[in-house]
Amino acid sequence: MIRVTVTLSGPLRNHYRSPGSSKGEETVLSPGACVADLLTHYGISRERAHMIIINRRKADIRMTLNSGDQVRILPLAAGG
Amino acid sequence: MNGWMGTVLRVDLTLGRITKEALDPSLAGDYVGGRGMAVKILLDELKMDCDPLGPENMLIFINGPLTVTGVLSSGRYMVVTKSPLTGTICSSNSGGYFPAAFKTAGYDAVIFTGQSEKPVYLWIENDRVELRDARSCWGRDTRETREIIRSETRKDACVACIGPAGENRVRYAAIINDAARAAARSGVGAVMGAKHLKAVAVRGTGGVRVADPETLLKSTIMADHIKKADLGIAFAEFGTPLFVDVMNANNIMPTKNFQEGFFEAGDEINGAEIIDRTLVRSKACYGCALNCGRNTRLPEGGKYQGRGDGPEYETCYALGSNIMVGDLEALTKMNYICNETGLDTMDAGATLGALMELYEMGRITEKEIGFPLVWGDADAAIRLLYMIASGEGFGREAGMGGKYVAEKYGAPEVFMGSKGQGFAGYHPRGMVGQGLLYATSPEGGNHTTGNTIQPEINGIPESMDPLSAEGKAEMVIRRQNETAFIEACGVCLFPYMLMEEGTGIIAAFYSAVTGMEHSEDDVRRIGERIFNLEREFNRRLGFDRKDDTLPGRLTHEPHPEGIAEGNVVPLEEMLERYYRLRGWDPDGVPTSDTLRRLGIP
Repeated sequence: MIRVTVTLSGPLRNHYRSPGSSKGEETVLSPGACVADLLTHYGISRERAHMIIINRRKADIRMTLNSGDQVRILPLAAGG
Repeated sequence: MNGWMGTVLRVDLTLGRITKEALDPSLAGDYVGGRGMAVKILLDELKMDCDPLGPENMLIFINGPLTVTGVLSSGRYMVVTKSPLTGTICSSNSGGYFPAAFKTAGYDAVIFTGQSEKPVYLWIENDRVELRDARSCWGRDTRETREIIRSETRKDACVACIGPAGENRVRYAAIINDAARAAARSGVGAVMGAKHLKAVAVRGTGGVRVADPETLLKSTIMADHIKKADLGIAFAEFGTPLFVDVMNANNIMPTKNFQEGFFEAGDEINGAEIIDRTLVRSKACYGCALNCGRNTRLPEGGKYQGRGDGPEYETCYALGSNIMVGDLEALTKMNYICNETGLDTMDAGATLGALMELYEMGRITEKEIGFPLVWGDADAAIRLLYMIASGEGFGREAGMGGKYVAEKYGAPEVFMGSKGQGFAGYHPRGMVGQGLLYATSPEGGNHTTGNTIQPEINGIPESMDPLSAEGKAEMVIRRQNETAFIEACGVCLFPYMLMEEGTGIIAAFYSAVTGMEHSEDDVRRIGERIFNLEREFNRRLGFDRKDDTLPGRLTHEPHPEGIAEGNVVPLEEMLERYYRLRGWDPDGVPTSDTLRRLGIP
């Protein structure tokens, strides 16, 4: 099994699995799991996961996850 | 006229004389309103070499033909003048409810000239307009001023006023309307203070005539569509501070005076934290479905106390990551202080960032400031903000802006801005088009003369490599031109700049309101005309290519981390193409052919 740390931003935070995980949580996945599997695990559609960052780099949904990865899933947003 | 009210107020503060004149329809048709019409008026009438804080400078409050017409997010106005911060043209805009009252009182613009001997405020109640003695509120903060003026006029008056910062001519003093909305940038509040004009208070009960109300009903459908879209839902719930997550995750959140792009405490000052710790309610400006405003309260029993609005994303950057303050309550307190004293949070942050770096370098010490000023020391920052607003001690120097202090203390390279105005919260090393935009903005570091978030960060309408110069000159020109038109219309940039089809929608609304059919190309051409006219204003004051610059930190120091690791802004490469496409000569001056093509005399 692999363990990754997942941070769900803004409105996506409603998808955290553990209560109280407001700033990220550790998730256990099967070896070889990719970002798309992680989204399925959290029940987040690909459209809502506007941007995925792994270890401070942009990632796509096909990317395979490794133990210790820091994953951030972000919705569409803008500043001002 | 449809859309425009047809009347401009002129207020000579030296003589205390108020006159009304008819709006010139050709001026409206060619330059629309807002910054477009105002820059034309200034070019025609302003003594160009005037002292921005002298009686000769002109100060224009102006709305646009789409303001308060039922068009989505149409509650905006602008303040246009020669900036005491940059010496260039500037146009600072704000929302809230003041703009709606101002227009429905019957006016497209108020043009202030001269300087009053004693403090005054302008009271407008529809067609009744008078200058009143402001001694009762001179010296008071913006919240107190609003209450005093309401007690002297009407309790439902909308008030735009300055606080002590404007009275003391802080070069980045803001004009605060409706208690917490701000025409914040470029020192427009200092121009008001120099004129001894404390406030403009308005009650308007009229309406705006539109040519085709049926088409405007589509605005309701659009509002509904936006409210249900992911971005609309996120805006309403989390406000602009949600963007902290995006910028920080991409490692392009300006941190430690733009030295870095990732703020360790980013998750402590984002939209979710505000909801969980300080939010009272979301709030919207007049006629808006986005609800991106944050009304907040600091928790009882905490170190900092107060209630007010904010922070917005730009403040999370400027007074948060930029000066390494990761305490949401301290950051919120600083935002309240800026709103109450009438300071621009962004240039306050740019100045504090430069000062903290100067302090770290040993260029400035406790001896000058009066206390230590280290990165992340919120209490020192709060103390200095009060001193800046009141002009006390070192606050007088800090109130001159980041460029001034960086130059005075021998390290001009630590000022993070262009043309003397601090940048917004988008690190150009990770979105190089934004760098080109900052360098060429008529008013320096600014995010409302166009920004490149959608193409460079969100990939809308199509993805662009944020680190490459390719296609950036074209994209920046397009966005600057479209933004100039949207702002001239008197509406908020948010819904229109964020939607793929925004320019087409604004063209349709403009046509429906005014009854003058305009295509997307027409809209872009008028925007281009406005932008070039602003360029021409600055050219007459000696600004050219030598002023279209970025700090060496952005063009020569590689970004340390994240998506932009190792990157710098290839400004010269972009600038050359930008000038060529703009029809400007190699010095950045619009050619006579370009001016003729755009109908600029």
